Amino acid sequence: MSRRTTELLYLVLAGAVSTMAYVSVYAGRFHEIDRRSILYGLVFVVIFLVLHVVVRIYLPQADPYLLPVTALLAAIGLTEIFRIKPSLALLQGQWLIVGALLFALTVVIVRDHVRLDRYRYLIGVLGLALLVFPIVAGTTVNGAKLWIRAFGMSIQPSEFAKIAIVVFLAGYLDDKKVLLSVPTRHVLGVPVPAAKYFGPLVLMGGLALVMLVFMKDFGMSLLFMAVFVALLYMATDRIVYVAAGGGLFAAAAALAVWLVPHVGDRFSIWLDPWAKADTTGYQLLQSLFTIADGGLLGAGFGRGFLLYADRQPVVPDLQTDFIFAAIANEIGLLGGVAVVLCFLLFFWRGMRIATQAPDGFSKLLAGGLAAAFGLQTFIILGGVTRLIPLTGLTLPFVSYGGSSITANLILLALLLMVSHRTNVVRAGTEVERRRLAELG
Amino acid sequence: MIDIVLLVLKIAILVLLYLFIWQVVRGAVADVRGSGAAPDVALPDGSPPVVVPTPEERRRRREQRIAERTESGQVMDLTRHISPRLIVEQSPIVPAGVIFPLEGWVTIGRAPTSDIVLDEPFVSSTHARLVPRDQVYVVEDLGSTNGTFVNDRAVTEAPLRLDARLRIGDTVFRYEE
Amino acid sequence: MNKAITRVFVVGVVLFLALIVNLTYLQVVAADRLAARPENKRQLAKELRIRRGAILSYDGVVLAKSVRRSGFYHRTYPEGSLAPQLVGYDSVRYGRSGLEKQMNEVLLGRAPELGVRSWLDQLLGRRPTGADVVTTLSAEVQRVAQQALIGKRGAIVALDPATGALLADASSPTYDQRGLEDEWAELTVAEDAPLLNRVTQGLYAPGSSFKVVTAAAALEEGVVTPEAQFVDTGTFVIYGGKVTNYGDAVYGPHDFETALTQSINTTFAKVGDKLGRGRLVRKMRAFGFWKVPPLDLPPGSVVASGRYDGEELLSPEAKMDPLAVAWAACGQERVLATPLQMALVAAAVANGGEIMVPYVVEEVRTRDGRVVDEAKPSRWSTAMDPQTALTLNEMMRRVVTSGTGTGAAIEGVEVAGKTGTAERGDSTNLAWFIGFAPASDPEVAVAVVVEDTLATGGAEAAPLAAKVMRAALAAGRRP
Repeated sequence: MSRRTTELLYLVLAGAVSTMAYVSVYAGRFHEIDRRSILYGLVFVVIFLVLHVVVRIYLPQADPYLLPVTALLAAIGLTEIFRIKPSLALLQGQWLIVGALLFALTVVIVRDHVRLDRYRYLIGVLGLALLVFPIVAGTTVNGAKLWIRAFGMSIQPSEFAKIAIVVFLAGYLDDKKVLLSVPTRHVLGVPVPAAKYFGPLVLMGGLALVMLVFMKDFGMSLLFMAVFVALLYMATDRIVYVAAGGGLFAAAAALAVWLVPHVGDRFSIWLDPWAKADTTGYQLLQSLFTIADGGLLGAGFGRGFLLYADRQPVVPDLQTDFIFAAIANEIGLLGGVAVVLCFLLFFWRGMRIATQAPDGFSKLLAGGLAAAFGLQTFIILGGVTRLIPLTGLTLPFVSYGGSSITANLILLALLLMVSHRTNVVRAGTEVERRRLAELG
Repeated sequence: MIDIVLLVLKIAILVLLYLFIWQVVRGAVADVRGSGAAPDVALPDGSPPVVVPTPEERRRRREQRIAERTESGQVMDLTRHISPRLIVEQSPIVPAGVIFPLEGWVTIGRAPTSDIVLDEPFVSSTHARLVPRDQVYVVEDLGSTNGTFVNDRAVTEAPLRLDARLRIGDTVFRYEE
Repeated sequence: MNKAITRVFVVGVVLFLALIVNLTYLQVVAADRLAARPENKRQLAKELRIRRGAILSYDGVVLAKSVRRSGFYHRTYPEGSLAPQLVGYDSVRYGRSGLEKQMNEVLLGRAPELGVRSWLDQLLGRRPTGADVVTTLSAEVQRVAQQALIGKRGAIVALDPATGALLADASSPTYDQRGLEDEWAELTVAEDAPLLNRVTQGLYAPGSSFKVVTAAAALEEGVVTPEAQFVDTGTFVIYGGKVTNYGDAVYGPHDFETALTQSINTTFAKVGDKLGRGRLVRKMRAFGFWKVPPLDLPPGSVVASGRYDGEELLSPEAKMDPLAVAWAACGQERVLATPLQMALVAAAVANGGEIMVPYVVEEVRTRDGRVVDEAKPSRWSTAMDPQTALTLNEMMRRVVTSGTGTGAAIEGVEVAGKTGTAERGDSTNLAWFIGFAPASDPEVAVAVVVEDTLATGGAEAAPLAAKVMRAALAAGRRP
């Protein structure tokens, strides 16, 4: 069975789940099964079938599992948003179409991710600009300055910056990895590689701190630092960088907890949410209560207790950062674990693509993107379940938010490109090989 | 009635979710075990070397390459008795015994667009190339950082004799005809 | 490079496993604990989606019911403030009290006695339907009792001595459940505590109404007979102290029956002294003092009567000197009783010495009219032997016909009772009346207490008791 046929089969399975979830929500809300609810599921399936066709034409040898997993996660997200606030689901559906369009554009224009390496510095600067822009022109949401308003829409540029910076780092680190892993001198017995290669890296590290201090965006800052350290480790295989990076960030975080009230609050809420149950700890506690209320099986899609009599959600920001609380409430522990496993599947496929990839840039690109995806998932899921301090990040593909869904679809496109090249080099047809060679 | 439908839906969704996960894991694990992807290069298993492209494709390609890539006056006489090739003797990334048939110009390097891709730390992106010249293959170092070695001697340009050992990075090839 | 990527992957897998373990902890291990946290209002809010059962009076008046509005139920109290302290409130913000709290599981249709919800219903997530609670209250008697207390502070309780069924529970000042959420702040800090159910939670010095207990002990122990002769000089000196009469009256020679009808303190002090601490306390316990009457209300809503030191109930074995015993026999000196307890004292005499378990829930009825739980009257305590009860019954009739309690008389019905006037030292009195009617075959027993009055029990409390008893008799004997 070809990779694309496998993909199609799994997409159909994901489509079946999404349609059933829609029907359940409709029936749970209106106590009758509406024929339109089946239509909603079908429209969703059509979007992903189009993506499937794009992949079939341009990336025929790409991994067949990533797209169906994405479809399933997006379906669960959209269903839950629809259930919480139907008007938002319509917007999210529109964003999904925009995301699908950007996905197709990325695939058609870039074709081969290796070509991105040529523009690495340009992409790096673009990423930086995206990050810094909100500091200049941003609006403050939930105490963090990470949104810009343009053309009547809110855009969260850091979601896109995440991808640009991984592309830059993958290229840069692949080039300099030998130099970075061979010490030229020792400082206090610790081997230190040549300083000049560190310039851009110090810049990246500094960036994470700037985000922390000026934008108070603890989540993105944590994500950037962690992805940065992971990439450095993957490129050089030297654990010293992990220790140094981790230590640096821990120190910076401690300082932020001390100096930045918004960050300090989040930390103290994590330690003891009960102390401020009515004010700052309210959101996290309501999230925990909502999750705990789901039990083993939950009440089913559309039947959980998520809205008060006045249609206000039981947890503030339920449809964005806290969407997992709604899911865990409605489909219980079994459903919640299934969703976590879907994220793990995506992460696994991404890492697998990285290990299989034929060249260093592809490895680091896939590894970096997969790490960013996995870490973002962990940071927000750990946050809403009080495993780690709560920091505002969206849950990829699931949370409501245009920037999140479009950026992550671009991330998916890049992973599929790496996978396609890998498999073409390893087992593709001559035609496909030639096509890639022509692109180079 | 509606309650029962919803209950069935709830259970069906959970079952399908796990079925989906299980199927993906199963399929992906089968891929990892190698049923899907065949390697790009022929692996030694006692049988004659297998070259991936089909015979017609190969012939066409060879002719094209000879036409395109040979410098004037340096056409190599590829009689049926001569089939120049590099055989991997030792390498951290390519299995020993893998055979790379040589046709026309052949580039070696870390760049994925190289004809022979060696993704090793001490191999440059475009490290060296093999050029057919006066009926022999000549290896040319393309300004690599860590050098090209023929029979353990660093060279910038050297002809390859039968059974010559070509070292690039940590990979050692033997040249055969 | 691959080795490092694999290690990063392994770290990622460990993090995801941590997420799954933590999720399991939240949804299985800690779920019940989190659900029970006071900060967690989900349960209360969720219960708004259940049709909560109604609370009805015995004569079918709806005291509380739920109305559906856009998918959620709202509690309404059609009668406004009819027995609000007993019925209680049901508020998402402030919780529950009274019967709303005590019968919550029944009202929400979740109590086991309503029949185990089928596994199918639970699996299907069907919401239960609340069952109705029918109380023993008579809306008519309750209304009369509450009207009688308008403008006064105090309490009136009426019950059926033969069964223990509560007919009326009036506590003044009162409040309206419909305005609870808006007025919560004022209600909780108000000095005259409108949320308090004075019938079951109000502790008062019983004064002379307590003399019924002393008389029961003395007659049963053979310390006195109704005909026993005493001479009153206005004071009885004992143990370095003295006992005097209300209003410093002097009665001269009289018999024991007259001592009860005229409420002569000196004579009861003498009798109490003869009786001694042990026998007096033993009789008090037989009447139910030191025990919490098992009325079906939430814990803390009914308090025990007995001897108190401030807020603290003293042990029945606590030492008393003879002066203390003499004053206690007159219902003073640290003896505190709830109106409910004093009504039970009257009921004991009315019911031949037997006190029935007081109760307020008559039956529990499911939505489809099935009666799943029905009150079965049972004995709580034997206060005295039937002969003593009969003797006391006759003496108490005399109180109403020719003694201090003439204000309680009802035309055409023989009423028995006892007044009480506890002086508070600030020239205001606590006015008491306990009694029952008809005396020969009692249908209703009452206790009335009015705080902060200048008048005596006979003048202030006895007429209120008459009104309530008349209403109860008019309502007719229950089957």
